[in-house]
Amino acid sequence: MYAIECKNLTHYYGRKLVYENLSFNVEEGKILGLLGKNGTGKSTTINILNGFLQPNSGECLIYGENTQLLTPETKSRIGFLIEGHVQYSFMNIHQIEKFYSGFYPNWNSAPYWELMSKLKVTPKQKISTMSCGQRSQVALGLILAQDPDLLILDDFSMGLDPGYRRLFIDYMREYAKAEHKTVFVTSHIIQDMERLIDDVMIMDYNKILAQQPVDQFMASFRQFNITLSSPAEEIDMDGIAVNIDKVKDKIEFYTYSTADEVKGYLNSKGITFTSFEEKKMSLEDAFIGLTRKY
Amino acid sequence: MIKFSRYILVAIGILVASIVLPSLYWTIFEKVPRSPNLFYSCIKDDFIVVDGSIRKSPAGKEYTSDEYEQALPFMFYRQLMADGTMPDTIKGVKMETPSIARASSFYRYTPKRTDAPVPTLWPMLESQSGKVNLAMPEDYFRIEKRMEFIVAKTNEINEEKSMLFTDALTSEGFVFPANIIAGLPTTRKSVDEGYFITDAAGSLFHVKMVKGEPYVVRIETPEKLDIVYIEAVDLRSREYYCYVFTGNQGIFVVMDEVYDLQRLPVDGFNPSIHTFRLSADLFNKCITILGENWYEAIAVDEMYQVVGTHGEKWEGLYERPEGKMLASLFPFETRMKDENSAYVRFYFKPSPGIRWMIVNLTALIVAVVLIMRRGWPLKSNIPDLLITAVTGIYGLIATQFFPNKFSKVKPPDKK
Amino acid sequence: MLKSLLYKEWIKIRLVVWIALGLSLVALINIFLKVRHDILFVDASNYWYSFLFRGVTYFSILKFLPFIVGLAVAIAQYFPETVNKRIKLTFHLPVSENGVLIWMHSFGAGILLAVFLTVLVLFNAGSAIFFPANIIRASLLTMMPWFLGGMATYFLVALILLEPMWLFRGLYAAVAAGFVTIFYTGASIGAFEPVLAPIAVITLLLSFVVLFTGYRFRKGEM
Repeated sequence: MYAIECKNLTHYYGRKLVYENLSFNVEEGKILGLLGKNGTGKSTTINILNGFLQPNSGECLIYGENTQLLTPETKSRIGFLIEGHVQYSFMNIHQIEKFYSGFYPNWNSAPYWELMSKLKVTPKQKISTMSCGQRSQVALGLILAQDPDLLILDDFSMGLDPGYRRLFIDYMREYAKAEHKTVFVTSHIIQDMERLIDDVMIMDYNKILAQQPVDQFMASFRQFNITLSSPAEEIDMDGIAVNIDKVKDKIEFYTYSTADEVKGYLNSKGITFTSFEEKKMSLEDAFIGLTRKY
Repeated sequence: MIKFSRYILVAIGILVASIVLPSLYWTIFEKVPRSPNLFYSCIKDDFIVVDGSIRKSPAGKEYTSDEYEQALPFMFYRQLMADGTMPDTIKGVKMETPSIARASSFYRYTPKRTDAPVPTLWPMLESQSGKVNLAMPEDYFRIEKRMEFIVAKTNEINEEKSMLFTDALTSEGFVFPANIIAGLPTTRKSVDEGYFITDAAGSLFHVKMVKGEPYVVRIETPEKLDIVYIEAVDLRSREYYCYVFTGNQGIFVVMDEVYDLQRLPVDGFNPSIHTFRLSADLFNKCITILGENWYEAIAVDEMYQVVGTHGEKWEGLYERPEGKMLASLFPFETRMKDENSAYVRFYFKPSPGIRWMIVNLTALIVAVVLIMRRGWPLKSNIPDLLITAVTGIYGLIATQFFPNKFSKVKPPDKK
Repeated sequence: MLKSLLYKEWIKIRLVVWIALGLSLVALINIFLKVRHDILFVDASNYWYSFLFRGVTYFSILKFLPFIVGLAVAIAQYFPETVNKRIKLTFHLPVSENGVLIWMHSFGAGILLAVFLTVLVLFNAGSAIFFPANIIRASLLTMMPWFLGGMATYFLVALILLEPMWLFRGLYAAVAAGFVTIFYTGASIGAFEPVLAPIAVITLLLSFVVLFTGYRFRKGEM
């Protein structure tokens, strides 16, 4: 059973292609991370998912309903964290809790007040005067109190201190798994993300680079650091290499192939090397390896 | 609902454009319209046409300043007397300043007078106070279900006086409420003659207050008159009380004391679009009826017999280059104010002719090109195209300002 | 649910509403103190005369008050929704998107109408001390376009604020300026009488044009 199904999405901004025929699903109970550099279409996808954007073609379904035409019942099953933890910042934490509680039948304010009690804010303090980290806790607390089945978190890590980011991730993972929630999360900061997500989808300009369970991705995507016998050796991007970073005689070779396959490939090309080692990657390393540094 | 909300916005866009664009146009291109003045010379027994600084005879002979002043001795008698050129007698009548001054009057009616909000409270002055100066009363009257006097200081009705006047009106057969109330609510006049009032049945009455008592006269009219406007005047000659304008039965004056209605020899006068002017002197009255691009002048003697007529017609607004240009650019214009009315309305003025169709067609083509360039299907934009075809530039602007995003956009072709 | 929604709207506009009511009250007190003063000095009958025959109005300071109040309420209510596209939160509430907007808008318009009616009722009550019904009626007829203009301003400013593209905000503002000007056309007492019904109908139709920019926002005009 899928919580989200997107089929053949194609979208343009004016004449600029964002993506073409993009399809993906999110299984219920899974945490999917949509990773990509800025401007690769993460926000476009979020906007389509929330019905704020009509794609040129294709459609997204949430719990079987087209996201352009979500019923109030389905909307109440979706928790939505807007990029930058945007909330009604002209309210204070009591007003905003009172406001939202009227909309959701399953409203459970306990987790909200638990989070709020850890914040050093005064009861009458408007959200607009809070720090970024405090605001993120308010936004998170509201979503937890809403108790939705699906959480859509757009760039939740933006502007967060490492401590708050780690706190947010750990809290979310524990909560989602315990309550069997589905989470769709986007981020351009990859650090710590492997602590959170089950499946990864990596986006580049106009295309999807990877879409699979994160452990499978981490197991199959590899980095080899190779020292060539001469800096003059030329190495092509064709064949098994996904990405190559070459500085003088040192190369970082990113591939889905095994060490033996890479060695065989280099031999077949007549490329000689003096050292060859596989480097253990974090998700962030893998992300950069896949999407390049620039 | 959302589509409908867009059409409301488009309609408002068209309305605003049809007000603003022509008004901008007129600010740039409007020329002063011709509005000649007509006088009747008792010396030349002919009209004098004054058009700006040019004075000429109907035949086209231009007069010098001196000739002009001498031809109109009553208008310029002070100047002529100073120059010593004032004749001692004209047509056997000895020229004396008091009689000249008494006979001279000037009156002007514009359509704005009729189509205007009017006060519903009036002061009833005492006509025979025995004092030299007139005085404003402490109260104001209104004639609704009855005639009521309201004392300003207390804002309360003077019951006694109200009853007195209501009874006086009723006994003359007045049908409440009043329709038109016309008078001169000022102390700056030679005598007070109260008010000329039409009742709900259309009958005409003269109502004033004499020594605190009501004075009511029912004025008999030769036929049932469709009176649209009355204006009381304070003539030093005391020849008549007021002008009475009817819908299409002509213009009358109500003669002093005898209450005879004298019809002025004017036909085809429409009080809602024509201007009326009357200048009187010792011998003649010169009446001018002005339309938008014509006038008709009639001179009468003291017995209201016609002694001369003269008329002229010139190019109308839409025959002049600036009017033609406007009528080619826009299918219509809207104004909030009009020279023939004091009321604010949506004055819709369709452009004569069909020259605007060229611009409308161009606007339509531009609209089609814009729609196609965006890759929108023409079919779902038919209402917009129709709007543009009918309203031209206005519609093009309005439909572009409030774009039609309801048609499914197809992605651009890959290049 | 509705109570919650209106609670949020009220938090946004309450300060502006109280200020508007306060200012209106000050304006009204000023008007009637001045009328009282002038009547003492020039005599009531002369004062009536200047209204009836010279077109001198005692309430001209109210002219742009409805415009300013309409503008302020619209900004207070919709500007916070546009900061960071916060209206997304509102549209995400488990209510129909058009429904949310209609409720928000009706609430704002209702409050505005209540403020205006309060001002008109108080004006009527104050005027009744000094003037007969004829003068009050003429005064209300003269003020009516100003108050309708205040409502139209509210509706159009909401439309402009919710529009996601700056270019179109500018275009709407141009049309709105042209339209609102109609209500404040300088005119003699009672001159708006024949056009009151049409402009009231147009104002009523304007009450839901905000759905247009709401829709544009939701369909991803960026």
